[in-house]
Amino acid sequence: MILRILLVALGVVCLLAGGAWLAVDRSAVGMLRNELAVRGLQRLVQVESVKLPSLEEAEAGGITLNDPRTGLEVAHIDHLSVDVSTAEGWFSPRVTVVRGGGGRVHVWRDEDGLSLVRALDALLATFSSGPDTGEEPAPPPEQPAEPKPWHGAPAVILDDLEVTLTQPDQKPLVIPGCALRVNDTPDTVTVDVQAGSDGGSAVLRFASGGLHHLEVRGVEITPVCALFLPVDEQELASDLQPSGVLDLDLALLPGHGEATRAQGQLRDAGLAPSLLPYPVGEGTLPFLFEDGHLTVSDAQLSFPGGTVQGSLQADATGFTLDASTHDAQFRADFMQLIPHFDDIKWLKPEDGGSLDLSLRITSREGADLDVDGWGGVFMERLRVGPSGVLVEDVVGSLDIHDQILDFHEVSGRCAGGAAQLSGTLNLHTGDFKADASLFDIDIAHLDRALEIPGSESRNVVGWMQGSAHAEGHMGEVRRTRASGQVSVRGGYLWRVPVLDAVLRSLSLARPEDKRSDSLAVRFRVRGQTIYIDELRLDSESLSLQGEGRVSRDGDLDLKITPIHMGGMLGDALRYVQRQIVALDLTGTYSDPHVRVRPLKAVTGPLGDLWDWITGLFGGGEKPASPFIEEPDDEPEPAAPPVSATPPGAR
Amino acid sequence: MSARRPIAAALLLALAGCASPLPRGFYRPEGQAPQDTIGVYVEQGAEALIEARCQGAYIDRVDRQRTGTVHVQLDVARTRSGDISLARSSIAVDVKPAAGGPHVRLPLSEAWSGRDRVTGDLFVPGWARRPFDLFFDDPQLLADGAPPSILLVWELHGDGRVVPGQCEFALIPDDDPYSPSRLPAADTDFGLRNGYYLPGVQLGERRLRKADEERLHHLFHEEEGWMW
Repeated sequence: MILRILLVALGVVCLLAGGAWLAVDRSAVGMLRNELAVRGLQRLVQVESVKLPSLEEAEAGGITLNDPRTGLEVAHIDHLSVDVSTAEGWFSPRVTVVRGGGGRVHVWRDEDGLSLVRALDALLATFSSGPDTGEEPAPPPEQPAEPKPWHGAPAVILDDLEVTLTQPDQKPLVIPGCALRVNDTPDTVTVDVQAGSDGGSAVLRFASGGLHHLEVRGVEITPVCALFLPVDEQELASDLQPSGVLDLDLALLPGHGEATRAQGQLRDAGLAPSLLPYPVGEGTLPFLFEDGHLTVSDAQLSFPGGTVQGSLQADATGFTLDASTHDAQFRADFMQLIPHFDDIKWLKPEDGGSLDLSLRITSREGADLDVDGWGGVFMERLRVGPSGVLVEDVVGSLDIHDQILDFHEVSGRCAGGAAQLSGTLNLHTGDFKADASLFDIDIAHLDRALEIPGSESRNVVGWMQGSAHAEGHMGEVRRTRASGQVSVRGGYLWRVPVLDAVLRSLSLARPEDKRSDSLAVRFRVRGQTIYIDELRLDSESLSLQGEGRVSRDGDLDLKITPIHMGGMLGDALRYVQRQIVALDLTGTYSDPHVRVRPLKAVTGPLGDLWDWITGLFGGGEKPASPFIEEPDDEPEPAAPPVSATPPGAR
Repeated sequence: MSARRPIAAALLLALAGCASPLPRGFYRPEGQAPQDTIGVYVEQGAEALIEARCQGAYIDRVDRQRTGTVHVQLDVARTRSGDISLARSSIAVDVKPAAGGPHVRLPLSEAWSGRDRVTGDLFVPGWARRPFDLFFDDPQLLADGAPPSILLVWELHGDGRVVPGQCEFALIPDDDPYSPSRLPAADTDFGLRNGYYLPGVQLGERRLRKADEERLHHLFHEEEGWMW
């Protein structure tokens, strides 16, 4: 009987215990949420489910860590198990180990800092400060307290996390398979993060006040990783778009940004600055950030065709970048680096050649970007102008000081001769000055290079020299002022379409080819119009004098006076003939129109008759002028050098 | 036949000899296809770009003495940083005599760069181009006619290295359709015809010709006067 009573009592006790455990298990979620609320963590941490498999173990699912400032999710763990220690009594349980796996972590930065760091700071602060009871802190004890066992944060072991880094205007970085270990000691909480299987590691050490130290080893980074940097350096990183494998040692003193010290290097580094037409990379960038100064020294980066050596000194007020490249292969897209590039698109270099460049770029708050340096360039092939006239083997040097780009002794081979250019460009104002010269240009060669229809069969010959001085403002063609002279000698020019048309209009036979014609032209440029102040063509049988203008598109408006030179009669006729006719030359170089016009001495019916006769040769109604009336309210530019200094004459 | 006839014939022959053009050779780079304008030898090396034109082997006067001269125009572009020079002592032409036999080496007699006489090595600064006119004199150069070939040799010094170079020019035969000897005489003020130096002009004393105009390669000869 007694045995039965004992069995029934035991059964009742078991049922009561089981029911109680079941009741505790069912209400565990509520209890936990209540505990979180007591600790003030109800917004910081949310839990979907809790199970209590044993007295010293708990399992939870769907745990979310939120940003304490915005409430946005920072991390979400799919499942978590918690080891609970009751060593200090049933009513003082303590979480000793947290294990979990699966889930996601989001890292972003806002004006108050990194959301993840903020959330972890808040969570860890709870463990160190104990529950928020609302009571006043206890007064300091009179006697030293007995040493108590260390009650820090539980060890945390999380695996298989997907970490996502996001920053505005940058491509997010998603790192799968990350692992997290948190170990709390009396002085430090250490967070060890493994970035995927071979993505490197990061160790974060937290002490009182927050993150104190970050050690990164072999972490592959992309531009979005700049979110871990201070704000000023973030902007720099945004400009440079760094990528590579990072080793970093970052020491922080919370609340004292000026004490931040970072040292490390970016291996297999890549940069994609917006001002470069292509990324640079495959180099090493050692860096040091200390006392608010960022220093990059002895950096080497490769770009297509060469290597650039550089160093950088930067702080909150600006930066100084030294960069140089030696014996790099010249590439056409280097032109994009030249200020006002859009205004010199008529210069089209091709890949090939070599380049040296040494620049110091200084940016200071409130001041214009300052670029100092020098360089030399060799371009194997350069196309000039709308016809793409080929200039080969262009060589020259330049220097930049005080916003003035000075390019001197730039010369190249062109049409059997040489072309030379020197000048200055004010990078601040866009004003430029240039002197150009041509030496021994074979105009037959040039005629073909200009691709004017008929050049293949024209067989124009002659040797051209010329020089011009130009001034103006980049991008404002109307402000261009130039003057100069061109001459052709030892030539035969009567097959030039314009001169051929003159001969036909005068019903003259084409003179014999003795390659002794000479042409001299003095000109000015005002905006889009070339004014021919003086034109003189001399050959054995006929000479021409003229003046007029030519538009930038090649439209002609010239007045030509022919002078017969053949034989003794030529001298006698010269004066009379000059009084009789002049030629109005319109149209274009390749399609000229000539109108023979009697001068004052021949007017009235005879002039009309002359017009009727010469109308057969292309005269007639004058088309609307293609010329833009150029303002000429500025003083004449300085008289052009009759001839510029050739290479080597200095 | 009277005795006067041989005397008259001798005088006529002497006059004819006086009037006949002196021997002269025009050249193009060896292996280059014939063309109407002067041929240019172009060598692109790691250190420099060198263009060479042979302006011929001709008779002119140096210090009033008639001599034979090989005239070469050289344009050297330094395509890197750092200066280079062509050692003066290394610049020479190896001339193959028209009568056969071994080559004769002629050292550089006189050099000009633009308007400046160069007395030492031919110097070219980094990233710059310099024109040179080189004269190699030898009174016997044209004794047997124009040499069939001329080899220009030089040594380029730069970056601590010495790079030898050479280019060969071949005589343009008179029956070549593009032979400059067929051209009308050049305008003596301008000096060039199809890029050739004063073809058809008997060259006199060699000295830099005064000119207002800047040119890459200036003229160095007046036309030979009749008194000579």
